[in-house]
Amino acid sequence: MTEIWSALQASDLAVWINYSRWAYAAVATVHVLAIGALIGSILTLDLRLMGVGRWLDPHQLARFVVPVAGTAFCFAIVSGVVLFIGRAGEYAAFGTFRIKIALIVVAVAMIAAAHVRYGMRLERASDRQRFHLGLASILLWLGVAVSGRMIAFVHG
Amino acid sequence: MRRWYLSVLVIGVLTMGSVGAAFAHHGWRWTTGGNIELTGMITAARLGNPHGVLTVDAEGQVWRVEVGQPWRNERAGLKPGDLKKGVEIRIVGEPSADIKDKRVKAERLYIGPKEYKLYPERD
Repeated sequence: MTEIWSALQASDLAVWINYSRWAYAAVATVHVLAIGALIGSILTLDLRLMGVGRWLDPHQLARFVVPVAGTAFCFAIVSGVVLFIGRAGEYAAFGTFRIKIALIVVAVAMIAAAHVRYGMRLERASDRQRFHLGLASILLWLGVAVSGRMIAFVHG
Repeated sequence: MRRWYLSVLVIGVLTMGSVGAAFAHHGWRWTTGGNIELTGMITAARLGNPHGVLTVDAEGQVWRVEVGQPWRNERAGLKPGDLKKGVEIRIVGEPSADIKDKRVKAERLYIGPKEYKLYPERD
């Protein structure tokens, strides 16, 4: 693993992101905006799953919100990978970073498992199961954001 | 309904609270406000974004010296290779308010007779 991180850190992309002024700022900004869009959008769906706003049709909400969240997720991953490459070895060793990645993996796995088990529109889930999925999703994504933000403060 | 607004509020406040409590990194909030001077040898240097970090051995005490981002170091006149292992350096900057934390944020650096002002606007 260590060799992979060293190789990444020696790459042109790593040198570029580490020593540029505005590219680093731009990528870091995209990362923050993407996280904002991801959590902002997924939060609305999670709250609906939990039973807030019952007057809103959940399928219509999902059709609107899931593509927004998915797009934001892609932007967050791509910008995140670029930021990671610049300091791969360091980040990989950080506890907060590991927690963040683990939470992302769990959150994505939970989405996949929920759809496998309850159907693409969660039509086989009970209200109670939807509630728990929504709550777990909120906690996981907030956990991702908090552990991500803590990287700069715990290991700075 | 009211219950949900409340729980969201609680989550939000807790999140911001934990972030606020840990605000001790970028900027000058975590430093004492006064300058110290440190002389020693660089034993490790990691430059680049978001800012560079030097490990400096000052008479047996290991300090972590935060220097600038690449553009700030360059503006101060530092060339690539100026900050590297084995270089004798004098640092003027603000130490961490936590005295157990041997960490200083450099305002000015001196290598030999040459001065490099990372933060010309600060004393």
